[in-house]
Amino acid sequence: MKENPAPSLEYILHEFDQCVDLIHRKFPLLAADILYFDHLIDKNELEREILQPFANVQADEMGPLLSGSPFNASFNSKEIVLGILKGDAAIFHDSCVYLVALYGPSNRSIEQSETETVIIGPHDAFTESAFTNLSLIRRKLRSSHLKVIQLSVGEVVKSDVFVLFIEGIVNMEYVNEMIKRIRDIEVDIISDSNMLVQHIDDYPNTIFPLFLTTERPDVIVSKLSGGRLVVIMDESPSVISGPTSLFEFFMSPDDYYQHWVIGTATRILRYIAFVITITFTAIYVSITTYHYEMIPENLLYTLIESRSRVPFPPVFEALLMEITIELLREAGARLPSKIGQTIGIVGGIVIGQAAVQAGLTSNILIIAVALSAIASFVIPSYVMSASIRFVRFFLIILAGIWGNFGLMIGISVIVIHLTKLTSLGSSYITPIAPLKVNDWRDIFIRGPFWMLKDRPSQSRTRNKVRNKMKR
Amino acid sequence: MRDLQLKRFVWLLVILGVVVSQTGCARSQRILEKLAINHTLGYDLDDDKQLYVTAAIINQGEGGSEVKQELISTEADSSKEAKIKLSRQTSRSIVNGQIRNTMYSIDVAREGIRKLIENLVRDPSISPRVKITIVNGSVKELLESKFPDHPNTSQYVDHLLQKNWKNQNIPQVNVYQFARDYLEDGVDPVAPVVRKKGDSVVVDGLGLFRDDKYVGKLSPDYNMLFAMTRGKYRQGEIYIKLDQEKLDGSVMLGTVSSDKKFNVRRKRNGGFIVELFLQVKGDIMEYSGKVPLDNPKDIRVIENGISAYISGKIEKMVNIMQEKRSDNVGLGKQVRNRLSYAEWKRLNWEKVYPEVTFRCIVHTKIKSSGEILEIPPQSSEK
Repeated sequence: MKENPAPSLEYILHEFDQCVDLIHRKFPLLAADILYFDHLIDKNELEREILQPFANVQADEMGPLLSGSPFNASFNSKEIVLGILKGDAAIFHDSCVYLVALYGPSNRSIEQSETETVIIGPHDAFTESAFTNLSLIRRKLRSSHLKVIQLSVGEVVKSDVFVLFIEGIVNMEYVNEMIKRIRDIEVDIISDSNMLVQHIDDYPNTIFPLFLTTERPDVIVSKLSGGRLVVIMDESPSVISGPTSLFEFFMSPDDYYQHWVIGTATRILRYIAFVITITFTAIYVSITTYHYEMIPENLLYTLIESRSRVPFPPVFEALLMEITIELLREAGARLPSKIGQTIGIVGGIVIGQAAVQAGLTSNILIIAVALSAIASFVIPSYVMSASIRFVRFFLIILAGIWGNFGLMIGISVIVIHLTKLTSLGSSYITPIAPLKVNDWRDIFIRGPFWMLKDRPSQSRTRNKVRNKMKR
Repeated sequence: MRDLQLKRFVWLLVILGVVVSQTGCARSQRILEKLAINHTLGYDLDDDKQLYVTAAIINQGEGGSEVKQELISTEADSSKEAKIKLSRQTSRSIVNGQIRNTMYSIDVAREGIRKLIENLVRDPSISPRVKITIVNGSVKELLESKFPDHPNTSQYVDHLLQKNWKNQNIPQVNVYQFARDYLEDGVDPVAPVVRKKGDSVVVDGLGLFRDDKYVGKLSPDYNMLFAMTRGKYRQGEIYIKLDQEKLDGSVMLGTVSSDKKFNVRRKRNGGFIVELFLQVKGDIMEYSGKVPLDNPKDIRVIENGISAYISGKIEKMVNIMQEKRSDNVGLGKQVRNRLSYAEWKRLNWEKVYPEVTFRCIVHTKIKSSGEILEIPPQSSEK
């Protein structure tokens, strides 16, 4: 069989052999056949665009009718098959084929994001439909400079991928690199943008996310205007932005909607939470195992008392509790929210009280573990929060082996690792590693708007100034 | 590229595994509840002039009972031998990293405590901030005694010293400062003396050392004055009995601050005159005398009275030290600062010191005398 034979009804029907959900409508009077999937199209559209015009014409008027809108002639079998799969109706008439876009299955409506909530500011979030997502972005970013490039990934299933950027602000090298990476993907199927990210990132073996994924249009709009590019994938509510630095994962749109002092305070709080998550349990382990000298006198008594009933060394004690907390979290995430509350109570009472009374753990460890778990949820990005919760285990084990020395080794390894990482070829810890002190006022603090004059340096934009106001 | 990374990662795991197994990680562990944590070390002399070491240990009973202080003691030739002997008496390993206080009975201190301090300095796990305290009486007896309001005796004594040092009732004396004063030319160390008194422990004064040997003690009245001669003095309180003509009653000065300056002059016959200029400032907190406080002129009378009192006391204090031939105020340091190195080396300070004339000139300033100057006596007619 030829690679791409001339389109014919027989061939297309043969392609869709054994597809009972394909509808084949015949109009013998008009010598026309229509093929479509009933569940992919909008029935009203079909009525208005095809059935009514067909009922009102004679056989000899078909030619002029089909030459007009919305009928698009197609001469490529592959395109026709893809079109039908995308929700088009294919009209076969007189050895010509015409496609009519009738896509219309209902989407999830625009709702609030479950993973990234804000207190004030817009509450809408992306949905699974790429076009809804595009409309959400266009509504917030009314500019003809916002360009959209369509690509597709997947060998078996072609998923639509859109690369968005603002012409004149973005550095085109990033766009070209991104397009090249997406085109290079040769996988049978990619079903979500979080999978796509793992195919296009610079270091597939790192546990840190190298691209920001978000469900919030306002975040995406600010990334676009900051000179970054954005990738939308159809059928996925997460939208990718890049190039990304580590510190972007600690920002929340709330920082900008609130007064800058409050925004700065919350941002600093998040960095403190980051340090607590990574090190707190590990410090407990290293101090109780090796460095009894470091304990303040008043704490010493209570610490000895609570430790004295525990039969395990501190490392095992800590790992036990950390794994329990992770179990609780994972169970809570998988269960329906009504049962999830039960998990909270079981976890809170059973783990908190009974474990101490049974002498399995010390109550100071419970505080340490709970605090670092809570601190990990302060980080706005779920992906990043999962990463640093994983890193914590690595540090706890090192602290159990070498004490504070091991802790320092672990932290050094993390810092070295972070220094190596790149996102789209730009350094992952940008305002620190290529030292850009100018950027710090929008990274470590949320400076007042009069201070935020320039776009982030990681965007490598030529159009640096974003704020020309004198004050 | 990815294969290489994976290979490197596997190697890293192998190396880590080897390192972990080689370090024998369990051996160096010091898990908190398996330690007998030394809190206070006490040194006594027993009847045969043997060193008798008592350690107050933070210890919890088996199976999670309340954390208590446990006392173990042994005879030993040195403090390190004592550690070995002590460890025979406990189920946990003794560690020194949390030592707060070392206590020496007067008998031990009279013999000289250089060797004992040396051991404290040498051990890196012992902080240089460990306190040095002299006990009037037996250390073991003090540590053994139960004070009803303070279940943990060693901690009680430690906190007592800490508080008194914060209030500047006693100078802060720790291993570092003691060793520095001991090694420095022209100044001798001091250490606070405590004593058991009924149901509590009291600061019994200031122990004076000549080199590392205890030679005597100052009564607690001098604590404040000694602090004034040693350094800047802030936020203290001082109670003064005035007994000159015209002046009577007593004054309590609050928020006292002082500043000092030494001046050294040579006598014609080769001796030295050391003058101490002291600036004392304070508020009157309490006054029981008859001088009306609303007149600046009368305030000056009180100021002069206070000055005379302080200077007299300080001169007396230095005289006591000179009798004991211990230079705890550091007059030698002041003299040394005025001399060249060769001159100082030629000088036999030990001999010269008792002959030094010391003068103290005090200038007192009363900053305020309270909000209500005087409550008028109630008239009986109304």
